[in-house]
Amino acid sequence: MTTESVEQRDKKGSRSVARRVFRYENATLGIILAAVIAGIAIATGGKSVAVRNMKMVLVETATMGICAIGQAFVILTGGIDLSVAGIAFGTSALGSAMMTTQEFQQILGYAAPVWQGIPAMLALGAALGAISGLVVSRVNVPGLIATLGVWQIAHGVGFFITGGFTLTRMVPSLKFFGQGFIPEGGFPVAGIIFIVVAVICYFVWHHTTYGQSVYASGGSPGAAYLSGVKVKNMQLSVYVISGVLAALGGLIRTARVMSVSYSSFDSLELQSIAAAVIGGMSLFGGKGTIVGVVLGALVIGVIRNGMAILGADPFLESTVLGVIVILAVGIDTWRRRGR
Amino acid sequence: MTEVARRPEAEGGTARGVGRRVVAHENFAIGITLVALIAALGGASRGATVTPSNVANVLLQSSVRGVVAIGQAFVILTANIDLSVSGVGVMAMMMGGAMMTTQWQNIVGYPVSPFVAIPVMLVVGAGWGLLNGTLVSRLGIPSLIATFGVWQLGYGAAYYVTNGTALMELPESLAVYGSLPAAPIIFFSVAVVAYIVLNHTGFGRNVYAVGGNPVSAFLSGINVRRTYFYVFIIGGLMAGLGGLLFLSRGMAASIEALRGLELDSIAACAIGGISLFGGRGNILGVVLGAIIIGVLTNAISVMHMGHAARYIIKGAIIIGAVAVDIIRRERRR
Repeated sequence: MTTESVEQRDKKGSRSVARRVFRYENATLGIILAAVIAGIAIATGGKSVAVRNMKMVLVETATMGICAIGQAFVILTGGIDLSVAGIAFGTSALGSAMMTTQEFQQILGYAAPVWQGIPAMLALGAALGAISGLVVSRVNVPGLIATLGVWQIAHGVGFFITGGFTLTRMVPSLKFFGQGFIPEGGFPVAGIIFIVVAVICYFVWHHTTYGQSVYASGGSPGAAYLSGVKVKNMQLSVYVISGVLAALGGLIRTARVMSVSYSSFDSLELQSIAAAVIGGMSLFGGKGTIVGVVLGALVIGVIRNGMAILGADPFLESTVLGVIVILAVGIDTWRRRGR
Repeated sequence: MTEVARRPEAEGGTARGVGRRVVAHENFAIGITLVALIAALGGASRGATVTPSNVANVLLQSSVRGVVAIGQAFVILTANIDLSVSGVGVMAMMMGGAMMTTQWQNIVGYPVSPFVAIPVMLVVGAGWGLLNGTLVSRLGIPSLIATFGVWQLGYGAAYYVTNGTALMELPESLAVYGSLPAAPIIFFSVAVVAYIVLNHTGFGRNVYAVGGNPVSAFLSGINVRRTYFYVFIIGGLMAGLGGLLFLSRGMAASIEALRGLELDSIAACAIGGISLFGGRGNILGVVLGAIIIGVLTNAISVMHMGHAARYIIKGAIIIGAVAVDIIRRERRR
């Protein structure tokens, strides 16, 4: 719909590149991100745009951004995933309890190497996501309720594994995924993982049959079903993807701070929803882009980092997040009504 | 749609006997579940959960959850959702607490009497509900997002009022509202009023109609937007009342006090048979649902089952309750 009208207008009027860029659906968001970066850079006297700080923003945003991409898959089918924080905690608890060198906290009796710990985390994430997916697709329970329940279950699993304690002293090789740089002192590994995930998901969304099927089952499940899309399997798959990505996000944060406690991932689900919504995902399903979600995550990441540098009160952070989300959706709703 | 579905049950009286009518009542299954749960937990804990003092405790805890769940029920009946209840409740609680405390956090300059502070708390709650209602009904923002944003704002404002510190040193006359018998009386009176409003007023009929099918409600002349607007005000008011009951029970307030209230209130509605798709369910179910959650939460702590069990059981129950509801409804079709 959008691309069509842009092409038509381009045929009629000017064909300049600038105009096409401006009409691109994420242009507004890109401008907002640039404005936010500029505004915070001025407010912090340039501290926020120092290379070292920008690397840190990328690492900090990676967890939220990866979870937001998973969230976007679910939102694309018209669902919502509130279990992100729970799954991130549950899987990180499992991974840390396997990989810790603290003998009394080890669940395997030895400090497992990274190649055992990380696949186990991702597998648990997939399994927890599959619970939501099965309940949503086979029993028709609303995604909101299914994931609210799985959030609790995953949190309980995490508590069961950690016994409510903070896990620390994981095997040193884990550090690479949160604090590593390629090459040494160069680009942060967490940022690379974030970008790779985003690029893969971009191709999956826009250039595979699977991506088209997910879009279709979000936009109009009835029509998708009649055209041969296995809507139920699509629904199941997006929750599994979101579960795996939540585990991956949890891995990066765990590797960055090298510890896990039950409050490590508080409000991660809210931030991921906020990023997806700011990024232009429609909560009614069937609309949105990966580029938008990545930009949305960066907007939140930059603002949070800027406020931390400025030493803002914690209350201000949640207030700003709340205002941004309402504004983003309000503008989207208003624009759609205008058309 | 809803009306048609209900008729046969309502006229069941002409059929056979009171017993049959009771069994056919839509809340029958929940009632049996509650009784079975109390019996099973009483047995499993060797009576520890059914001692008078513990029963009183459950009633007090359920009162906070119950009034908030009743507000949530109005919102869910119109096929919306209110995620902001804990943020709004905390905001109202901190506002009232900061007016009444004799400590340095006092925002008025002198400790205000509860007779002034309580209405302020309720108005604050209703005011935040009004914000939700405006965002949803005037701007058309999906309630999930609007109330999620307002939830953050509520916590932010509560931090602002108290700088994140806990409030204590409240006037002793406040304790009445959070103890026996006042708290359960408030809970049940709210339930009775809500029942009357939903079943015997034009507004209540509008709520069901709008939730069942907003388009046909609109076409039959119901002001859909205004109905949305009012249910969110009720939701906020009840969150404020929940904050009041919590504050006067513990006589202290911390910013983390009401965390998870949105989950509990939604769960109470879901267990109580309020359909998340709107237009279905009743207040009696919500009251029973709130008590079921209260009984369970209490038993888990009395029996020292730990956090892990608490989370896993609650999660399984909320999914199970909705799944059972949906399966039953599909079978009826």
